[in-house]
Amino acid sequence: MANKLLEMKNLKIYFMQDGKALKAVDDISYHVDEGETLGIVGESGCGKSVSSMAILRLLESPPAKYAGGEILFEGKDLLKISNDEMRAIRGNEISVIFQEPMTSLNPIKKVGDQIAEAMILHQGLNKREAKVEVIELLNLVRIPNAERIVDEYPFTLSGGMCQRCMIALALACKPKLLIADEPTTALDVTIQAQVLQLMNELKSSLNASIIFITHDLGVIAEMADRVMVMYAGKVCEVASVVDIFENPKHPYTIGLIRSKPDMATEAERLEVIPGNVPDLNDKPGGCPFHPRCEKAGPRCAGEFPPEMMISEGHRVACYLYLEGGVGNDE
Amino acid sequence: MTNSENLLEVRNLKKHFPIKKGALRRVVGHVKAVDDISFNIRKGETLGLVGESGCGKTTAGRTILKLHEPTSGEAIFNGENVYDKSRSELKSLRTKMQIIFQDPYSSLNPRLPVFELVGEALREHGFVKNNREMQEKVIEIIEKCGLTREQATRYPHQFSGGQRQRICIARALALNPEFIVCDEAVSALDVSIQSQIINLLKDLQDEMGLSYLFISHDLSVVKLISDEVGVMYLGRIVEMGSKQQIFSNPRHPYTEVLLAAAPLYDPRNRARRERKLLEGDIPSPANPPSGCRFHTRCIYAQDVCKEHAPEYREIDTGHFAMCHKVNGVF
Repeated sequence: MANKLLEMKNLKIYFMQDGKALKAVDDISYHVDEGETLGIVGESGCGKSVSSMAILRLLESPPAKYAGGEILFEGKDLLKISNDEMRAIRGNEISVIFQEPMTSLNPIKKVGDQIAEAMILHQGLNKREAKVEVIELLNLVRIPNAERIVDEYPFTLSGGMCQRCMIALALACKPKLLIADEPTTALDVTIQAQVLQLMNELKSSLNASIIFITHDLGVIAEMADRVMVMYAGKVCEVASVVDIFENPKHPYTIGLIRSKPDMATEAERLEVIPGNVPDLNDKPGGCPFHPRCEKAGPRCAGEFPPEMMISEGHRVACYLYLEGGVGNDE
Repeated sequence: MTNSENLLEVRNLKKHFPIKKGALRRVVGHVKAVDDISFNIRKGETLGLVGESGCGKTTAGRTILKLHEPTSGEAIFNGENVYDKSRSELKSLRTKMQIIFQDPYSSLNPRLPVFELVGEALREHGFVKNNREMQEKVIEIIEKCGLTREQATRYPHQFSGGQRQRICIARALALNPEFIVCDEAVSALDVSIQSQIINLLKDLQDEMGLSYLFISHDLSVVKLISDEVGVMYLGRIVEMGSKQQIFSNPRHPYTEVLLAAAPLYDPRNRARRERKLLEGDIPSPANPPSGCRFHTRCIYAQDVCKEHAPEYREIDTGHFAMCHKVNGVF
C-alpha cells in the first residue's frame, strides 16, 4: 500500500458571522497517497476550496476558525506548527495553483522574478542561478521564448500563458504536494486541454501528489486517480475514479453524474437534482442533501450518517447502505 | 435565401471597434470583433454559437439586438430590418427580442424586488394597466419559471445563483418575446442547477414557440439545446450546420480540435487524450492573421492558407464551412 503523504482527520472549519458559526467544513477526513491525484468535486459552497486552503493555513482567521481536527503532512500536524515552520513548507513542500491566473500573479513584478522568489527563499539560490532555473522551468511548462518571457509582466501574457507561469511557480521548489484549485476553470477548452495534459505529464515526471479541486466532472475524469465528492461541508463519497463514474453509490453523486450534459449521448433532456444548493446560513440538519434527495427517509433528517465501506477504497456516507436503511417502514 | 419561416436573418454583419491612441484619441486600428457573418434562425428553433473567448460570439448577440451599433450588415427580424428602425420603433421591437446574460449576480438591480425587476418592463411598455394587473402577471410568469408567489417580494441577494437566473429568464419572458439571446446563460451555474435551467429553457421553448440564439463556450450544453450550430473563430463563422452535421461530421479543422478538446466523462479512455491538441493561443482580433485566420494553429495549413482567405461555401445541404482543405483547394 502506498504511503499517506497527507492525512486530514475530522477537520472542522467554521466562519464566525454575527456570533453564529457557519460550518463550511464540517468534520471531514481524507488522505492523499504519495504520487496520486485526488480529485475533489462539489458545487459552490461545499467546502472543497476551504478545506484545501486550510492545509496551507491560508484562511484568514478571523473570520475562519479552525474548530477541530488535524492535518497531518508526513506525520506533522500542520495546524500545530509555528508560523516559521509553516512558511518553510508553503511554496516549498506544498504549493498551490489558483483559479484566476490573471489575478494570482503580482501585476507589477516580472514573471521570472516571481518564480525565482520561491527558489531564492527556500533553496538559497542566488539571483543568477535562479534565473537559469526559471528559464528551464518555463521551458518545462512549454512556454515559447522562455528567455524573453522571464522579463515580461503578467499583463502581456494570455490567460493560458499566465496559468503556465502559475504552474511553473508552483513547481519551482519541486513540491511533494500540489493543490490545484480549479486551475482550468477560467480557461478556454482548447487551452484547458493543453494545461491538463501538461499537468499529467509533469506529475508523472516529478512524482508529486495533486489535490485537484473542480466542479467539472469532465476534468475529474481526465485527471483524478481517486475522487472525493463533497456537499455542504460534508464528504458524501470517496472512490476510485472508475467507481465514481461507473458505480456511484451516494444519491448526490448519482444525480451529479446524470445531470451533466454529455457529448457522447444524443439525449434531448437532462435529469435534474431538484432544489437548490443550500446556503451555509441555513444548512439542513442530518444529511445536508436530504431535502433534495428522492431516496430520503425520516432517518436522514436526524444525524449525519456514518461512513460505510462499500468495497476497498470505496466509502459512502448514506443511510441507504446501512442497516435499517433511511428509516422508512421496515 | 429569404424564407418565410425564418424569424431572424442576419446578413453580412460586421462590428468593428475602433482602437484609439494618444492625446488626440486618434483611431489607429480596429478590433474586428464580428467580421462578416450571416445566419438564419427559424421560428421555434435554437442556433448555438460556440467559440473561445474573444471570437466575437457575445458581440454578435448584442449587435443583433442593436445593443451595439453595427458597422455594416443587416439583421432582419420578422421581415423588418432592426437597424432601420427609429428609437420608438426599436423600443416596441425590443419587446419581441430579449437577452439573458451570463452573470445573474450583476445583471439584476440589487435594490429592486423581483416584483419590480420582472414587472418594470410590463409597466414601461404599457402591457398592464395598474399595479394589481402587474402583480398577477408577474406571479404568473415567475411561477412558470419555477419560483413561488411568496418570492415576488424578495430582493436578489436573497436568492441563490440558479434562482437569480430564473428571475432573469422571467424578466426576459415578461413581454412575451419571440426571440431570446442567451449569452452564456448557464455558464456561471453549478452543475446540478445548470441542468435545471437548460430543461426550463427547453420547456419554455416548446410551450411558447420561442427561438433562441444560444451563445456558449460549452460544446456539451450547445449540443443539448441547439438545432443548428455555428462555430466562430476570430470574428468569423468558420463552420455552420445542423447539430448532427457539426457533432457527427465536423469538417473544419477548428471544429475538429474544439470537439477533441472537450473533456469526456470516461476515465477508462484517457489514452484517447493523446490526440491532436491545438498549439498556441487565439491571436488578437485587432491584428488577425492573413488569409485563413486559423492558419497559425491549423495542422493542415498550406501556403495558400496564409495568402488567401477561403470562401464560405455550402459543402452539403445546410452545412457550410470556410476552409481551403474542405473546399478541395489542396
